[in-house]
Order: sequence, then C-alpha cells, then structure tokens
Amino acid sequence: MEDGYRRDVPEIELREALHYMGWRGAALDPEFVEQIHACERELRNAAKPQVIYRCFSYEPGLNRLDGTVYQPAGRDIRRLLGNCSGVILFAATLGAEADRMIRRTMLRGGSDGLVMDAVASAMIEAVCDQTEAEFARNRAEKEQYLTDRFSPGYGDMPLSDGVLICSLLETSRRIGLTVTGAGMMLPQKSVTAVLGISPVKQEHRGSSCQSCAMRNECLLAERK
Amino acid sequence: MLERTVTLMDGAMGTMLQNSGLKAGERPEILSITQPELIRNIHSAYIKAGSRMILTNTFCANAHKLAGQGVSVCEVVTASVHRALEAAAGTDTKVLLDIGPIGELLSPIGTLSFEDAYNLFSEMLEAGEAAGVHGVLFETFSDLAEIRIGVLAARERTHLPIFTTMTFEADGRTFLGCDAGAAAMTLSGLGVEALGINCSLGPAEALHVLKRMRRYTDLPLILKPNAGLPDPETGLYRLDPVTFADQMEGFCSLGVAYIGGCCGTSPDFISELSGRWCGSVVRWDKCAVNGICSTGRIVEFDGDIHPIGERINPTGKSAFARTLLDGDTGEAQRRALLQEEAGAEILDINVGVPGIDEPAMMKAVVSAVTGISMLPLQIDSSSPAALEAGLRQAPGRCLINSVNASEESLKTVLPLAARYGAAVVALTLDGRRLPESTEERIHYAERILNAARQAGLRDTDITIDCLTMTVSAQQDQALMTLNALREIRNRWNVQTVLGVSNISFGLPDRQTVTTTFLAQALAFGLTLPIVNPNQAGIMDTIDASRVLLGMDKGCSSFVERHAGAEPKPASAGKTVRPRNTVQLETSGLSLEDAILRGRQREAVELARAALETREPLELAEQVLMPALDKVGLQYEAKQIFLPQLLNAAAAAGAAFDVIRERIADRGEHSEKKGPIVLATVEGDIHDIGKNIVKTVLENYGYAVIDLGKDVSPQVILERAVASDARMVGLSALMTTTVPAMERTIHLMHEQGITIPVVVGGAVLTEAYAERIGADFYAKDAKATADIARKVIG
Repeated sequence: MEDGYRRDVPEIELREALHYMGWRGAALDPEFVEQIHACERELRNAAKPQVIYRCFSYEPGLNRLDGTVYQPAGRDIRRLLGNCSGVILFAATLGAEADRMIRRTMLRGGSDGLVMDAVASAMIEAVCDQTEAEFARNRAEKEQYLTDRFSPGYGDMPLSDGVLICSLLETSRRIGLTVTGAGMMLPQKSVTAVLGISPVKQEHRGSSCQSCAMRNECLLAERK
Repeated sequence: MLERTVTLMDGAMGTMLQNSGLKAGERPEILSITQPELIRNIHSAYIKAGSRMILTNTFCANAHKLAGQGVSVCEVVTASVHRALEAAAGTDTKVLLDIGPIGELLSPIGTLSFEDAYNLFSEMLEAGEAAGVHGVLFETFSDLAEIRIGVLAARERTHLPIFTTMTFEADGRTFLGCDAGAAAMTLSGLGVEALGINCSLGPAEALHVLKRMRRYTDLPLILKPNAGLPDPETGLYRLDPVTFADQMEGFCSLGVAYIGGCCGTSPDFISELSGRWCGSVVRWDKCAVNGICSTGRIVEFDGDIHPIGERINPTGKSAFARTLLDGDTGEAQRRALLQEEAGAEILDINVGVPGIDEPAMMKAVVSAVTGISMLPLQIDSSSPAALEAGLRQAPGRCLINSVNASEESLKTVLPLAARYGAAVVALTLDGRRLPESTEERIHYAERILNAARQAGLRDTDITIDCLTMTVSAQQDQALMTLNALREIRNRWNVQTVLGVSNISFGLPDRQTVTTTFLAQALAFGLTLPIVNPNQAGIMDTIDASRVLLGMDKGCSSFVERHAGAEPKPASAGKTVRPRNTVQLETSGLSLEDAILRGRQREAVELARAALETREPLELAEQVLMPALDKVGLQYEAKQIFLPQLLNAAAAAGAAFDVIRERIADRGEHSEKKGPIVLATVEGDIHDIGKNIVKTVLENYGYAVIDLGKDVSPQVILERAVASDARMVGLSALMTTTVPAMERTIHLMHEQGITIPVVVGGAVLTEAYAERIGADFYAKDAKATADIARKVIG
C-alpha cells in the first residue's frame, strides 16, 4: 500500500535469494531452507522499503531531461531511450535498519549474514519489480510503454550517474538514500534507475546480466 | 507551565527558486552571488507575509557540496547572509544561518569522519557569524549524530543561539532510525534554544511526532512541515495554504512556538499562518521525564529496573584486551550484541588496557558499538580525556561512569556532564577512601549532589553507586550497602547503580551469592544493576524481581520470557550435568557428517565425545582437517555453495575450539596460526566479502585481526607491522575504491614491508591484482584459505 514514499515489504522468491548466494542448483537440505526463511523473517521486521520517482519529458536528440541539468551518460542508455518521449528517474531503498540488521547478523559468524544479505538483495529487487509493474500499468492506460529498468553500473553508464539521480530526486531528504564520496549508496540495499517512456512497444531483455560490464568476471552471472 | 509568544518563520527557498526557473540539480546557493535581487526579493516576500525569522540561502553551502563550483564557502555564506540582512533591514526580523546535512553519512555507517563534519560545519558557522547572522538553524537532518556535531561546532566556534529541526517519517523516526524523543532529549542536553521538525510529510502527520518530543524536553518546539507530498508527474505539492494552515491548528498545547513551512510552501502559506497565529501565546507543561538514550532508544529513569551490561570491559580478559590493542573492535561489537540479546538495556563501555591510547580507543569502540546496537551507553573510564572522547562520539544522552566525592573528581567530571548533557554515576567514596558505613555513603552522596546542583545538573541526572564490597572479606558491608540504597532512594529523586558480581569474590558457587545479593539490592531500591546478562541466573533474577516488586504489571513480561521454561533440576551445580547428555540428539551422525552438514552444536558435542577416547591433535589432524578438505572439494565441484561452506567451516571451527580448550586444560599451548590482518580499503564500506573471508579463515584455525571497513593505508600498514602479521588481506568492492587498494600495497612496498598481500573483491581480476602489486589474488573466501595455507601453513 502506498503511504507517501513507503511501500510494503514484498514477498521474495527463494530462488532469487539463492541466486544472490551463488546457488547453481546444488541439493538443499531442509535445515538450510529454514535458515533462509528465518533470516527473511528477521529482515522483514527491519526493512522499510521506500520508493521515490519523478517523470520528465525527454527529447532523444538533446538527451536532456526537461527542467533539469541531467543528461544520462553512456551510449547504452542513449540507445535504450532512442525512441522515448519521457523518462522516469527512480530510486528505492530498504532503509538503514535493514543494513543494521545485516551488520548485526554478520557478527554471529557462520553464514547467517551472507544469507540475510542475499535475502535483502532479492527483497530490494522485488521492491523495484513491483514499482516497475505499477509504472507499466499506469502507462498502459495512456498507451505508453516502458523500456527496461537501467541502473548506473549497467553497460557503460557510469556510477556517477547514480549520484546525479539521487541529487535530482533529493533522495537524501525524501527517502534517506545517500551516496558516499566513492559513489556507494547508503543504505547499501538501494537501487537507482532510469526507465524510458515510449509511444512504441519495447523489447525486454529478460536477464539483466547481458548488459553488465562485469558479466565475464561475475560469479553470479547467468551464462548461456 | 511554560509559555512563549509564537514566532513566524519563513517558507521554502528551493520551491520559490524552482518557480523562478532554477533547474533541478542546480545549486541554488550560488544565486545569492549571481542573482542577488532574486534572493533578496524572496526574503522580502516572506517578511511582507509576516515572517519574523528568516533563513539564509545556505542550506547546502558546505565545502563538500560546493566542491567544483568555483566559489568558496565564505563567499557564498557571506553573500547569502547579506541578502537576508538587506531584506530584513528596517524590520525586527531575525536572520538565521540555514545549515542542512552535509550530504554524506558519518562513520561508522558512511565514510565521513567526525572531525571532517565538524570542520565543514565550523567553516559555515564562522563565516555566518562574521557576516552578521542572529542565530543558526540546523534543519532537515535525519542523523542525530550529525546534527549533534553541528551543534557542538556552533557552541564551540560561535556565540550564536542554536535552533534545530530534524525530518521524521510518520512513525516518529528518521530514515536512520532516530527517535523523535531521543532527539529532543539529546539536543535539549546540549543547550539549544528550540527544537522540532521540518520537511517530513505534511503538518497532519507531525502531531504525534511533536507529542513524542514534548515528553522529553522543556524547550519551545519548531514546526516547519512540507505542503504535503509532491506529485511525481508534476513535482507540485498537494496542500493549499488554507488546508495547510488548518492542519497546523491543534499544536498550541504542545508549545509549538516557531512555525513556518518547508518544501512546497510560499509567502501565501506564511500569510495564512500569520493571520491565524500572529501574536498568540502558547503554553505547555514542564517535562517531568528524565533518562538516557541512544539515537533510537530511550531508557527512562522511572524507578523500574534497567540492567547495564558490563562485558565491554577488558579488565581481566586478556584475549579481549588483545583485540583492542590490535585495533580490532569486532569483539566489542560481538559483546554488545550478546548482551543486548540477553536483555541488557544499557551498555557500559570501558577500554582501559594498560598502554592503550584510551581516548582514541574509547572513540573507536563507541563508534563501532553504536553502528550495530541501539542501546544507550554508559561511558566508563577513570580518565577524563577518555570520558570526553566517548561523550563527544556517542550520538545520544549517555551516563558517565563515574564521579566521586573528591574535589578533583567533582571539578573535572561534573562540568563534562553539564557540557555534554550527560547523566552521571556518583561513587560514594572520597578519592581512594572507601566508605565503611551506611552514613558515610549517604554523606558522600549528599556532597556529590550538592556539587552537581551547583554545576547546573538536576538531581534526576545523578545515579548513586553505594559500592559493593567483597562479602568474604568485609562481611558487615553488604548490609550497609543495602541500607544506604534504601535511604538514598527515600531521600532524593535519584537513580541507583551497583556492580553486583564483586560481592561473591573468593567464595565457592559465586553465582548463588551474586544472584541472591542482586535480588536483595533490587528489593532495597537498586534501579540500574551493572551485570553480566549472559551469566546464568542474572536476567532470571531481574525478571523475577520485577514481578515481586510490582514493576512487571500483570507479570506479562515474565510470562512472555519464561513460558515453557523447564523446571530447574534439583541441583544444577557443575557436577550434576553429565557430559554426554546431548549424545542422544547426535546419534547416527559422525563428527565428519556434522561438519559437512554445517551442524555446529552437534559438531561440538561429537568433538567432546570423541575426546573421551582420542588425543586432541590426532582428532584435529585425522578428522577435522580431512572433513574441511572434503568440504573444500565439494565447494570447488559446486556440489555445495557458499553459505553451506560457511556453515561447515563454522561447525569445524566450533570443534577446533573444543580441541583447543582441551589442550589448554592440560596446561599446554595451542596458538592459532597467523595472525592475518584483514581490511576493507579506504573509502569502501562494503564489508560482506571481507566478513565472509574472516569467518572462513577463523574456522580454518587462523587468528584474524579485522580492522573493519574504510581503513586508511597508513592504519593497515601500522597494524600489520605492530601485530607481526603473516599475511594481509585487502578487500574492495567498487572500481572507485580499487585505487585505495593499490595505494595501500604501494605504501607497504615503499616502507619495505614484505608481508604477503592477498586481494579480493567483486571487480578485481587476477590480472588487475597483479598490476596493482598484490602477491595473491583470491577469487573467493575458500581461495583465501588455500592461500593462507600456502603462505602460513
């Protein structure tokens, strides 16, 4: 339910959480599955998902969001926005308490910290997916279509774009999302993203790994 | 009853500028220089609408946010102050220097240091005072630690009156979990003029947040809310001036004496407020509550029992002391967590190790503990410098442990309590002279209370310690302590504190004596027992005492905690407990299975059982090591994955501990291998990878010194050398922080340090590791353990 920027804690898929732990289909004993659920229960009490977004008109030729100083950087994002007339800037976070819960769990030793971290990654993804679905529904009514969600760090879009998105959305005062000097988001379980709005139906790529610059090194990458 | 005439503040600056064509993402502060007329006119419009207190256009005018803009902080602040003063000329309008958050999170969550934050604020404050502001408003903060640093800087670097507002969510907490009541309690203690909320949501949502603040402060409150929420499509706010002003009604009885608006408000909003509130007087009740707090939790001094955990104290704990000397605060954090989980409500922090830089260590441990625990702190030291270091760092209202009745102590400690708004433990002794009677204790308590009143403290700020003497040495003293407790609680409105475990020193079955004395002391009026909450019987005694003394209404807490508890065995002494009781649970499982399946508890029991018949070293070499190897192979073959590897390593580690215990029982030495120094490099705050490596290495039998995250090259080098490290492990997660890894390796090479360095992290590759001069690249935690085996054995 929407309450300002707040969102409900979403349900998460076990498979998603397992994916972030590097799971490749090894057998899972029931105790381990229960461990994941226990971490999830604890995290659900701590997580406070918040989402903020703003829509801007966009002219691909100028590559500028109307009424802002922001020009999305990199060839990949420009290609994605190639036939768009609008852009949604979007940021989401699980909040500081979720981070704290993960730090506390790390101190217990064993794998609880890792498991909770993975569950949290799955959770913030689920928050983003839900919000994206909301956007898509609202746009469908206006016969508009959304591009894939594209985040700083995907393809050749620099992390510094995340800083600009946060500054434009005033994420620090609106949802408590800040960026460190080295470009890291705090709380850590946070996402910034750009979505294009187009009058033309968009192709979706499915896995986000395909556009990632680290796909050849990443232990998590889904390889075909 | 307190009262105050309402002062009208102004509305939004940013919204007004955006309406004048400022683009999102542009820095509005520079307009004070480039478009002076525009800024002056906005101020004038607010004054014309009725504002009698306006804010300068300096919200983000700190050096961090202005970097790269080609103007100095002093230039921007001076110009902005002048614009406001020009507009205010000829009116009785006060001009406040507006200061917002720096924009980066403070350590230990972020990478901004206390000192850097202090200097960034000071620069703005000094420029503002020089330019002629009448006061300062810190606004829109969500981190109590950060606004506290701003207030300290304002107090120490200027003479300006200080106003503070923070931004809260509808649940009364900031994004960082700061409680509105804790903010009120903490900032009141630092001597601000008024405090309250700004930004956040609309006025309607502010009511219960302000109620919460009112409970913990006498000060007038400030309310500057947004005009509701913005529409994401248009960026426009939803409330109109009349609805906004309607929602501001009903705050009178709370003592809201400063009103205005934040995002989305304009002079029209202020006009509407002015018409309704101008000249009105608000009255409110004096605050009757005292206590201490962290940013997120308040312990009220309400006569109920609030246990203080004593385990973050290295006295007599050589392993813990060693971690502090090594600069590793992980064990302190772990102790904080264990005590909190056991039911401690306040954490005592003492870092007194001979030869340690106590103020620096106090600061580091307070910082580390507040990063993971929300419990209020008791800063414990005999060194005034260490007390002050702890008080400066702790983002809440602390308890100081302690002052005593000697002139020297009263003269140094009470002013610290007054300056930092802290409560203080008063030891009923005079310097080194211990009291020998009830009367003597009361006499010292009275002397301290008188001195405290003179120093500006309230009686409720004082917590008297009647001192526990060892009953086997001075048997008559136990009763005197108890009688003094009762007398002191009868005479004064103070809390009482007592460290109880000392009572049983030198006696057998200490637990029985300690818990009995604890129960007696609680019945005689002890409210803040200093205990080890992880020791058997302690929390049970407190839970039961709260029932018997009528504090636990309807016994509900007791029932909640103790429902389903097994009846205690007839005699629960050490000897009664047979060693092999758990074997039933583990039947059918071999020690190897227990490790492979990551079953820690079973691994411990099976290791104990195996030691009945096998030699410790033989068990380690023939069972544990091979089991770990097998786990490693399964991991390499992707039959198991990382969490399972960690669980298995933890189970093996627990079994190793049993073996080491057994070897130590025989009086032989069993040192862990290493040490290995681990750190996440400077600027990087992602430490999950490093933590996983730590878990694996420790459970593979290595001693690990964990320096934490965001660690400078210099500190890594110093610690590695000082601890005679055999290997250094560096972690970096981001492309932006790998250069810090390179700098660290560079510095080590420059200084001729040849300790092997292993590096890892999501964006590193073998080739990259080589290029930055690392000796080894580890693709994951298991690989690090393999490298350690190669390097150290």
